[in-house]
Formats: sequence, structure tokens, C-alpha cells
Amino acid sequence: MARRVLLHVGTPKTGTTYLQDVCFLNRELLREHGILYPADRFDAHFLAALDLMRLPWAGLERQAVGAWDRLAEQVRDFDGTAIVSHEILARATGPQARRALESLGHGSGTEVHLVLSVRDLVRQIPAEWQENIKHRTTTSYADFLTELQDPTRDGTIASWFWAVQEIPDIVDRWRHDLPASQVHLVTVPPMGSPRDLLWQRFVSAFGLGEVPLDLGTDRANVSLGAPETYLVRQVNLVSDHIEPTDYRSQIRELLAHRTLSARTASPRLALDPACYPWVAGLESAWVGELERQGYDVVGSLEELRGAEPATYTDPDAPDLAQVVDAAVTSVVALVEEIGRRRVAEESLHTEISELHRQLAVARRSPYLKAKEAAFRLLSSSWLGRRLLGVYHRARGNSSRLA
Amino acid sequence: MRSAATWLAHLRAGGTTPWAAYDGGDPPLPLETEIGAQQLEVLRRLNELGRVSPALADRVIRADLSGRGHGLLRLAGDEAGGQRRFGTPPVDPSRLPYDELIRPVLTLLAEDVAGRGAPERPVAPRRRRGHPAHRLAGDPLLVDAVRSELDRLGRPEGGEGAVTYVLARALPTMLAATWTWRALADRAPAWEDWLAMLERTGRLPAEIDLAQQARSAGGGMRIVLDPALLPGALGVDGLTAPHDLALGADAAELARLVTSVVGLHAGDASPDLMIRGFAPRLAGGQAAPLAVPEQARAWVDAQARLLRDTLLRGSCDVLGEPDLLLAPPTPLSGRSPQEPAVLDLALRTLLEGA
Repeated sequence: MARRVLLHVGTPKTGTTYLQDVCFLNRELLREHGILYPADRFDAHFLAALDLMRLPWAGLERQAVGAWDRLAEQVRDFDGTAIVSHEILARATGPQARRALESLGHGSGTEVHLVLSVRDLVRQIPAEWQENIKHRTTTSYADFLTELQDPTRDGTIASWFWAVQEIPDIVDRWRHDLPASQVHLVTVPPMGSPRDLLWQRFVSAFGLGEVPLDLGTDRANVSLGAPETYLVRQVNLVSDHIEPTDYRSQIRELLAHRTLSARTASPRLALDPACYPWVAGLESAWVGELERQGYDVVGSLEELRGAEPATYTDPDAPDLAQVVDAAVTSVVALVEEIGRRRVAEESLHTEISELHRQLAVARRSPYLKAKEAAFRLLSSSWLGRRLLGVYHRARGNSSRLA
Repeated sequence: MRSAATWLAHLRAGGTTPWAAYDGGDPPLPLETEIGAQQLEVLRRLNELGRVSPALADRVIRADLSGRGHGLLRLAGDEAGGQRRFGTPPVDPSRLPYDELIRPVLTLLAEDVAGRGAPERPVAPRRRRGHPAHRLAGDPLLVDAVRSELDRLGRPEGGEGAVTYVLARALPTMLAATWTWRALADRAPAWEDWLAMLERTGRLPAEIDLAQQARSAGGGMRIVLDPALLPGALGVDGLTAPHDLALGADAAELARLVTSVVGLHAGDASPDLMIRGFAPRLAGGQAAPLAVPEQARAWVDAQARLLRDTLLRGSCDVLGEPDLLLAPPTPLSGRSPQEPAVLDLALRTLLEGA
């Protein structure tokens, strides 16, 4: 039974990918220091979260059957501290959260700590819209903002956004009977803070200070500018026939993450200034509630009050010259990718030709011809098939007749 | 007291009073588990349709909400609910949209699909020498039906020099069959969205793009438009007219929705469970068939004429009249899926399966 579990349940867009990658890359080292990060693949906790919350995810959920129970079993079997982390866990309902806590040992002697990394809404709103766009949404920024402000929260976007971003409600769904001292809020520092400050806060919250971690991962979530996000949205509008696997590898990974994110000189996404008073009001209410609850804070709750953006570019109507520029960059990247694949294909064709040649040479062998004739003859009768079976068993060959 | 707990007690007893008309019950009860307005309203609607066993009622109130949407919603006017400043505002459950109400039902149906399993797929017999070798392609529902029948008759696919028989029929019917198959076997967009996507991309699905298949196959392919000619072509006497699954419009949509979540319960076994386990439960009856809606009709008709002309011009061997690709001159009685009917079918399927 794990003595202590650090259960990191969100929120998205707060540096969680980086934390998870560092933990995954260093899982052996962590174990040597008495810390379990139970994962045999980098997305193990994501699959466990899908399973816990019964959440389909473009077909990936088929790999998730039983994933939460397997993860929880590893945690229960470990004698030490375990870390479980995925930001979409923020969306769990109360009963799902209770099930998760109990399966990790809460109520059976394990000290479960809830960790939530959090960032001001001024930055979270545009970041979440961009994330939606990178997941094939076609909703404009204006419609996105309108939907978020609808008090009913109806609609797929609003219901998801608030489920994973409304910090007091997330803690309320997850906390159950945990004392406030076992709820930890890690705040994301404001723009302009030292680059590694958030990481230092994670290190502090997860007790990783004594572990000489290899931080060499580049899989941190990357962000796009306004014209680049506009371009991906335009692609989404006409690409719903593209298979999810191809979308993930070609549009999200190749175009968005590897190509367009490198264009850092373009205007960044920001909150529409017209929404700032509404957002500032929400942030104040949240900060007040979180202070009142007395949770452990790594950083400062004041950092949840986002600064009004100094500049704003409407991502629904960016400078088209910048969009064209981004599109040209994308075309070049795609052509380069096609070139890489062409080389790989040619290499495979060469390999296949060589194998065909070797096969043809082998087939000319009188020994092989006789063997094939004998096989055909024996296969055509019951007795012959039995004899072949005996032969295969004698050779220790597990193959059977077709 | 008018609370979720007392209303639940009313519903557990078979009550059907909507929350808005419910005037409370005694004594005040603690809620056994956190339950959403979605599950409570589903239980009420099931009560309206028939007797709900205690076991099913239990499953309903504990059902996870499949897919995206709200979390567990609170009841507006719940006197035991207290004031909460955060989270989604409470609701009147009778006003919940279709998308929310169907979520717990889909979870339960998916659990049933995974739990019940499916009949064993018959083992294909060994192919005997002396029969012409064949392969099947085309309309996926027809292919599945004919393949089963040929296996039963000892004529499995495969073999050297096999001729490919592409099974085809009127294009609107083939489109409906292809979408139904995909709805069962994989994830598929909604019917009308799918048709709109085909029109926008100007492409027919690969399985039924006969022109493309004829181009890429070269020789060794025959298109079968008249099923009565297939037994003769294959040299099979006992081959009866194929009887495909032919789900109604609402049943096909329900299958699509269950398919979208069943992977969480059944993993890679999902397609087989859906096709051989769940689909037969939904098939048959007098349900309205799935049909191409008016807005897509012109494009589909044009594609059908193009295909027919291609077959008339081409060198491909066609069994049957190419005109059979065209839609019947009179409009079909079919339609697109309708949300209230899909929800009703989902609830009835759940109730009947319990």
C-alpha cells in the first residue's frame, strides 16, 4: 500500500505535459528514490483518466479498457510515494473522483494529496480556444467567448471548459473528506517571471528536490500565434474527412507543433479586452473562495488575477498577409515531409525488390520445389495433413496447416 | 421535502411525476450517492415506458455520463441542495436537451453490449478445389450477408486468381448501408454531416466507388447489380437472396452513438460485438429506413448517373442493369434519424434488455 499519493488532477494548459514527461523519462530514477510514477507508456495516465471518466477520445479509448484499475493497483502495491498526473482528470464527477481516491488507498491508510496547477483565466481562455482548434474544432474565437459567457454552460465547448477550469468547483468535486492541508494549489507565475519558476514550484509540490532529474524533454505543449491559429481553423473547416490518426500526425504534430509554433514573431493570442471585466470578476470570486478554504498554495493566489492584455489581435480576422506567410511555411513543411516519406518509400521498394529476388532464387531450388510439391500432395488428404502435423510437432514448429 | 433524494424514492417506486410538478415527500432522506438530473430524468422516462426493475434503477442512477457534456447537474429548487456559488447552475430535468439525456443510456447500453458478447463468428470452412475462386467487395452490408451465406455453403473467399465480385445496388441504398456499417464498426459522423462531407469533397466512400474500383482493378472484377445473377456466376445453387441487417434510421443512429462509447468497455472487440451482438437486437420491425435527405438528393442522383454512365462505357463486366444504380423514381418512405425517436428507442432497448 502506497504511504502517500500525489494526485495531480489539472488544470490543462498549466505546464502539465512537461511535468508528466519529466516524470516518465525519469521513472526508474524516481523509483530509486522511493517515488513511483506508474507508467509503461508516456500516455498511461491519460488512458487511465479516459477509463475512469468513461471518456471516448477519437478511438484511443479502445486502448484504455481497465487502465485506471491497473494504475491504481500499481499504486496500492508500492511502498512509498506515488505520483498520478493528468490534467483531464479535472473533469471527473464527484462519484468518479471518490472512486479514484478510494482505489488509490484513501480511507485505507494511504495519505492522498490533491494537487491542482492553476493559471489565471486571462491566459487560460485563449489557450483553451487554441487547444480546441488543435483538436479539430472550427468554432471562431468570438463564438467561443460567447459560449463561455452563457450562464447555462450548454454546448460542448462551455461544458468542457468550465469542468476543467473552474478551480473552486474542481476542488469541490475532488476533495471529498480530504483536509485543506492535503489540497495543494500550484499557481503558474505571471508573464515575465523566471523561466524555471513554475518547474521549481512543481518540484516543491511533488517533493522532487532530492532527485537529480534529467529535464531533457521537448514535448512541452507549444503555442501558436493569432494568424497561425486562424490558419489551422481554416484547415479544420475543410478537413473533417481526414482520419484522426492522420490529423494527429500531420496537422497537429507536423503543422501546428513542429512548424507553426516556431513562428514566434506573429501576434500572440490574448483575451478580448471587452471580456476583461467579466473575467476579472470571476477571478476575484475564485481567489476569495480559495483563500477562504485555506488550501496549501505553492506560489500565490494573487497570480490568479490576470493582467489586462496590453495588445490584442482578433484571431478571427488576423492580418491576411501573415496568414499567407504561415500557409507558405506550412506548404514547404508538408513538401519536405512528402520528400522524407518518398525517400523512405523508395528504400522500402528497394528492400522489397531484393526480397523478391531472393525468393525467386530460392524457388528455383529443386529441393524447395520438391518440398512444395510434397506439401501440396499431403495437404490434399486427411492422412497427409495428420502426417504434416506430426512432422511440424517433431520439428518443434508451432505453425499449423491453413 | 422536495429534494433529489425524495424524488429518487418516488422514481424508485415507479413514479413518473416530473420534477417541476413534484411536491415533495417524507421523510427527508439523505441522497445515497451523488446523482445528476440526467440520470433521474432518464429513470422517470423509463418508468413511463414500463416497469423498471430495482436492479436497472440502480444501474441508471449510478451510470456514468458518456462522452462530452455537463457533469452531474443539480436540480433547480432542490431544498436539500444548499447554495453553491460554483459549478453549472441547477436545471429543470424535463428541459434537458437530448444530448444530455442520452448520455447515461449510452453508457448502460455499451455496458450491455460488452457484457452480453456476440454469437461466435462461424469458422470459415476450408476452400475446396474445383470451385472458381472469388472475393467480395462493395456494399458492406451486402458483402457481410453474402459472405456468411457462402461460408455456410462451403464457399469461402480467397484462392489463386480469385475474381472480385463487387456487390452493388441503388446508390442511395448503398450510401445508407455504408454509413450503417461504419456506424457499427468504427466511429462515424452523423448521417447528414457525413453526406455533406462527401458532397464537399466530391468523393464517394471507397467501398462503393465502383468507378474507382473498376479503374484500379483492371481485369478480374465483376460488378453485381442484380443479386439473382450471383449464384450462377459463382456456381452456387443454394445461394438465397442476401438478407442484410438493414437497420432503421433511428436504430442506425443509436448504433452509431453506442459505437462511439463501447470501446471504453469492449476495446478492440467492439466492432464484432456491435455487428453480431447489438445490431441484430435493433434490426427488423417497421422502423423508417434511413434515406438520403432532400438537400443531398441532387448530388447523390448525379453521382448515381455518373456511375451508371461509367459502367455503360467501361470494359468492366456488370451483372445486371446499370440503371439499378439509380434511385427508384418515387421518393422512399425513409428519412434521417430523429433525436426524440432515437432517445425513445434507446430507452426501450435498455428496458427490454434488462
